[in-house]
Parts: sequence; C-alpha cells; structure tokens
Amino acid sequence: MATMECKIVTLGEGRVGKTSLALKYVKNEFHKDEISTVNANYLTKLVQIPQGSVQLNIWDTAGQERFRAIASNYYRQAKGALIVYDITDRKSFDKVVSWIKELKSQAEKNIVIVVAGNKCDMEKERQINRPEALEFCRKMQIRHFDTSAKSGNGVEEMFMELASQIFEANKGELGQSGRNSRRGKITVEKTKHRENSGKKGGCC
Amino acid sequence: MDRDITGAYTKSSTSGSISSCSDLSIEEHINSISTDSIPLDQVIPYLTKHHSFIYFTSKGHKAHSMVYFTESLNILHILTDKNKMKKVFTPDILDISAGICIQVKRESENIYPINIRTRNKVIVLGSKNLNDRDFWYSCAGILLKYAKECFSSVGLRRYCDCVVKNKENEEEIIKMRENQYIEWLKVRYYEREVQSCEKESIRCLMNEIISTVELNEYQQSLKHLERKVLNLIGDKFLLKQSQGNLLKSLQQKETEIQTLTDSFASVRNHLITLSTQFIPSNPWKSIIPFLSFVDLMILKGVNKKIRKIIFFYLRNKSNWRKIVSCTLYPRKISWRLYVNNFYDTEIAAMGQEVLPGVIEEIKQDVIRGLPDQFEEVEEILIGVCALFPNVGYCQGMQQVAHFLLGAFRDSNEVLGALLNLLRPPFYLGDLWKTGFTRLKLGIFQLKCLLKLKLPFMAKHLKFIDIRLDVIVTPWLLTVFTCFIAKQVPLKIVHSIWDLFFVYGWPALISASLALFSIYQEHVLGLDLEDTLRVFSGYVNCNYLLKEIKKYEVSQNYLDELEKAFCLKEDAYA
Repeated sequence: MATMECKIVTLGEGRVGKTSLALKYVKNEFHKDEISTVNANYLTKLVQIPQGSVQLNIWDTAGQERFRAIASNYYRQAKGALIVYDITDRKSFDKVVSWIKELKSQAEKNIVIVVAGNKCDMEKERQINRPEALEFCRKMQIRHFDTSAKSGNGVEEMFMELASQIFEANKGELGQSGRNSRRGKITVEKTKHRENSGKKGGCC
Repeated sequence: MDRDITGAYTKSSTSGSISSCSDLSIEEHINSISTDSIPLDQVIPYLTKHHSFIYFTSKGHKAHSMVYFTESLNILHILTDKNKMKKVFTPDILDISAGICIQVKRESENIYPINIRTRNKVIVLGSKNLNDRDFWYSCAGILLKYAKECFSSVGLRRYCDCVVKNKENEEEIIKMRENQYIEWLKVRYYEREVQSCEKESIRCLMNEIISTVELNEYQQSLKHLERKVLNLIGDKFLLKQSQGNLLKSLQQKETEIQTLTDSFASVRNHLITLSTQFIPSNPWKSIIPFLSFVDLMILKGVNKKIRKIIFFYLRNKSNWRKIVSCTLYPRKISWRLYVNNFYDTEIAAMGQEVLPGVIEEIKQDVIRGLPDQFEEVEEILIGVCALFPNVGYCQGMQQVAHFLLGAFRDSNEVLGALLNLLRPPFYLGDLWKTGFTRLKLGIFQLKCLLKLKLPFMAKHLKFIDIRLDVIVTPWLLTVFTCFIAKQVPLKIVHSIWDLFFVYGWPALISASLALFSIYQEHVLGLDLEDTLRVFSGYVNCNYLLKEIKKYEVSQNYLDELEKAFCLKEDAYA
C-alpha cells in the first residue's frame, strides 16, 4: 500500500493551543505553559487509515496576528489545514471565519479544512455554544471537533478524520506524486514554480 | 652493705660469748686445783716415764705402743710398735676420761681404755691393768689442770717446777695466780679491743668497697661525659668552620652590596641628569585608552586634572566603542553606558494608552514560557507598547525583556535600553514591527551570505526544500535569547549580546552564520524532519565566539545587500 505524504498547517488565534494539540497527537506530551511559538514548528507522524497510510507533516504556526503575513508561506502547498479556536475565548472563534476565508482564496483548491474547539476540558468557562459552532461548520461544509490537548479528548479522531479526508481528496494524485517523489529534483522544481505563482497572487 | 656489716658484727659478738663461756670453765679449774690428792712432784716423773699401752687405730686395730710425755711436758708421744710416732700437744687435749672396760673374746684379759679428746679427734688408749690405767689417767688429768692454768704450752714444765718448789709457800702461788689472772684479763681486754678494731676495719672495708663501686660508677659517667664533651667539641669545630664560611659569604655579599649601591647611585645620578633634561608632558592621555571603564571611573575621583582628561576622552564616541569592546565587565554598566551614549534614555512622555487586548495578550504570553519575573517583564513590554505604538508587542520580545532584566535587574533600565535598541544601528524596532521588514531583509542577507560562505549548508537546505526563515526567524526575533531555553550557557548568549551592543545589526548576521557553521556538521545528509530536530535541539556553542570572528561581515557589504533587497521588493511591488 502506498504512503501518501501531505503537509498540514495549524492555524488560529494565539494561545488557543495549536502547539499543544500537535504535540499531544505526535508525541503524547502536554505542557501547561507551552512557550509561545515564534514563526513555526515542524512535526511528523505516520497515520494508518483503512484505505492506506498517510504521512502527516504538521507545520505548527505562530498564532500572533503579525505572524499572519508569514503564515502564507506555510499553508501555500498544504493539503490540509487545522483551524483551532479556544471555547473559552469568543475572539478566537471569530478569527476562524477570517482564516477560512483566507484559506479558500489563497490556498490550494482541494485543501481539507477541519475546525477544532480546543480546551473542552474547561467546559465551565465555555463562551461559544456547541450548537452555534456546529451550525457554523455545517454551513461551511467543514468537520468540527471538540478537543482537549490536556486530556487528549478528540485529538486522535480529529487527525484521523483529517488524514482520511486528505487521502480521499488526493487519491488521483497518489500514483503521480509517488512517481515524482522518487526523483527529488522534479518535486523541487515543481514546488518552486508553485511558490512563485503563489507570491504573485498574494501581492496582487 | 649495712646488713653485711651487721652480720659481721653479730658473728664477732657470738665468738665473744663463746670465749666468755670458756672463761668460766677456766676459773672453775683454778679453784679446783687445791683439792687434788696426788702431789705434783710425784706426777711429773711418773708421766715422763715410758708406759706400755694398747693403741686403738682409727680402723679399730690394736697396736702395742709406748706412751710418754716429753721432758718439757708439752707434747704427748705415742710410739707404736711399727715405729710410728704420734704427737699430741698438751694444750690441744681437751679432756682425758676413762672408758668402759672392753672384753675381748679370744683373750681372757680385759682392756681398760682411756679416751683422749683433742679438738680434732679422739685417741683411744687401752691398758690391761686397771690400777695402771687409773693412776696414769688421774696423773694426766692433774697435768691437764696445770696446763690449763699455765696458759702456755712452752712454760708448763717450769710452772710445774715452781709449783713443786713453792708448795709450802702457798701465798706466793696465789699471788702469782692473781697476777696471772690480771694478765689474762688484760689479754681479754686486748682481745676485745682487737675485736672492736676488726669491726671498725670491716666497716671501713665495706665503706671502701661502696666508695670504690661508686667511684667506678662515677668514672663510667665521667667517661660518658668525656665522650660527650668530645662530640660537642667536634660540633663546635664544625660550627666554627661554617661560621667562617658564612662570614666569608657575608663579606662577599657586602662587597656585592657595595658595588650595587655604587651602581645604583650612578644610575640615580644618571636619572637626575636625564630628568633635568626631560620636559614633562601629561602621561594620562597615553594610559587611559588601556584602562577599563571601572578604572576610569575610579581615576575620575583622584583629582581635577585627571577628571578633565577622562571627560575629554569620553566625549569621543569611538573611544566608547573601545572601552565597551575591551572591557565588557560588568555588563550592566558597559551596556547601559554604551546604549545611552547613542541616545538620551530618559523616558520623556507617558506615551499612548495601550489597548486592553494587547495587555491581555502580553500577560498570557509572559506567564507561559518564562520561568520568573512575570510582573517586571510585563511592565517592560507594556512600556514599549505605550512608547512605541507602531512597534507594539511581538512574540519573542518577552524573552528579550526577560534576558535584559537578568542583566540590568531593574525594569526601568531595561525599558530605557530597549527603547534605544529599537532604533538603528540595532533595528530591533524594524525587526518586530508588523510586516517584519528587517526580518525579511536579514533572511535575504543570510541567504546570500550562506551561498557565499557556507555553500554546503546552502545546498543542503535547498535540497531538503526548506525555507531559511523557518530556522532563522526564532533566532532573530528573540535576538538569540531562545538559546537559553536550549540549555546553551548564558555566558555565550551574553557574549553574542556584547557584540550586538558594539556592532549592531551585523553582529546578528555574523552570529547566525557562525551558528550555521556549527550546525553544519550535524545536519548535512539528514532529511527535513531530522534537520529541523537538530536545529531545534541543543548545540555545543563553546567555540561560537571563534566562529563569529571567522564569519565577520562588513557593514558595507550588508548595505549593498539591503539595496538589492529593496530593489527586489520594489520589483515585486
């Protein structure tokens, strides 16, 4: 069975728990006071799904507003995006909308987006109603998960869902990319080309 | 020794007592003489005649013998039939007694013995006729009495004759006896004297022995002492020798001192002549550039002249660079002075109000990730936001602020320093501003320099298809303070900052290049994931400063690159 390599970015407002979610999933670690990410972290994990196996290369980006300008560098070739919001922070949920808009306009067309309402272990301080979030996601035709990086609730399912959706979406390219990946040079050229086109698009 | 003396003494006393016993018996004899029945003039001729008796030898054999006293009466001759003569001195005879009659079985006759007891032995004579024996025996007993009376064996016959002649004249005899008794007493007295003298002599002898023993001992100790004295004399001799040597060396040294003092005096004279020719100039000007800042501050207080010189010296900015680059300790002072030298640090205005959202953001970022001093760091960051609203708050600033707080230990000073650092030539403001223009420029500069200076690294990064900003952004945005969290010694971060304070932006570029060169050997050949893991992990930075020196970048070159970057940006725009 062929392995599909795919790039995933985590997006979202600062301090919502992007790094924690990625770390929990890949290394099963949780630090209460994770240091703020400057720019981006890189993590990988091989996922087994019923259809095959997917190598998830997770780019965990910085959440602060001013890093958003750089974030485009990361989601440009991404096949999947994980948008995280904090259920105890209204503002972070509002950011989700703008992120989805940006992704739809800037990223690749078949990008798979998943929304995660993080910190669901702090149900008492909840500010965003679950029905509201679900309704919003249904409209956008995006899967929504309640997760907790602290307890690990929903983290595994969310990434599995993401992997299988990406697999489905890129089924056709599997053979092609597999052939290309054997010869590194071609991929490099390809990516370069895409990069340039992306930049131009961004500037205009 | 005393015991021996007393022992001798007691012995002598016992011998004295023995003699006194004999004295008593002698007195009895004197008194009993008058009761004798046989007259002396009959006895002497009878005893000088030869009488035949039987002599019993010591082994019990019998021998016929002739027994008689000599004419002088002092020896008893026993002439045996084998012509053996036995002599017994009369004074030796203690007593003569009659024995019990012996019957011999073969012969019908009885033998009547006479026992003559001397000091050594008992001589036994025997006679077959009882009357003969009794008469001889009693005669011999009378003679013995007289002999004891006489006290002298030689004059016995004469005494006896006198006794016979003056038989009628008893009174004379008694007188003579008395005289003789007095004489005897004198003898006894002399004996006692002799005994006491003996005692005395024994005592003296003992004392002499003791003293000789003591003398021996003293002689031995004397010998010992003599030996010691000899040793000491030898030592003394050696010491005298060494004293002589020392005296010699002392003399030598003295002569040396003399020569040295002479030369010293000549040198001093020379100096005096020189100094009279020398026109004094100010030496401080030449010394100051080699002193550290602290020394300068101390010197400032010495006198007015020096203070003035130092003041003029410090007016020149290039001198400041020298001081800071030469003497980076203590950092607090040098950094502050260096920074303050460029701009006035006084915080003039209160600045604009900071949005509550930003404050909230700062608070949350400060609490997560920093080990301590949350409030101070928060205060600093809010201060920056208020005074430079166009810079605002950027993640990474909190680490820089925390680091500076560790160096300055006062939030106001950190704020003052940060405000200066935001401006050129440090460009931290441009680095953190929205849009990251400085960051992008830095990455562009690094990209070009990497291709030139570390071509293998550049090739590797290109091969694994990684953008440089992934690696470099944290380094630049936190000004390398992110390395503190990677267990890199604080000292090294401090030294990077030293360079940053002195040289500004180019120091950051050369430090990045040096880090790339250190990472290079660990990274080459790895894939993307491992490469990034190496870059995010610990690295041994002990040689970082050497590497930084290797990768020094000139300001001009960076300016050229900046121009190129601006052109490129413009082209995109």
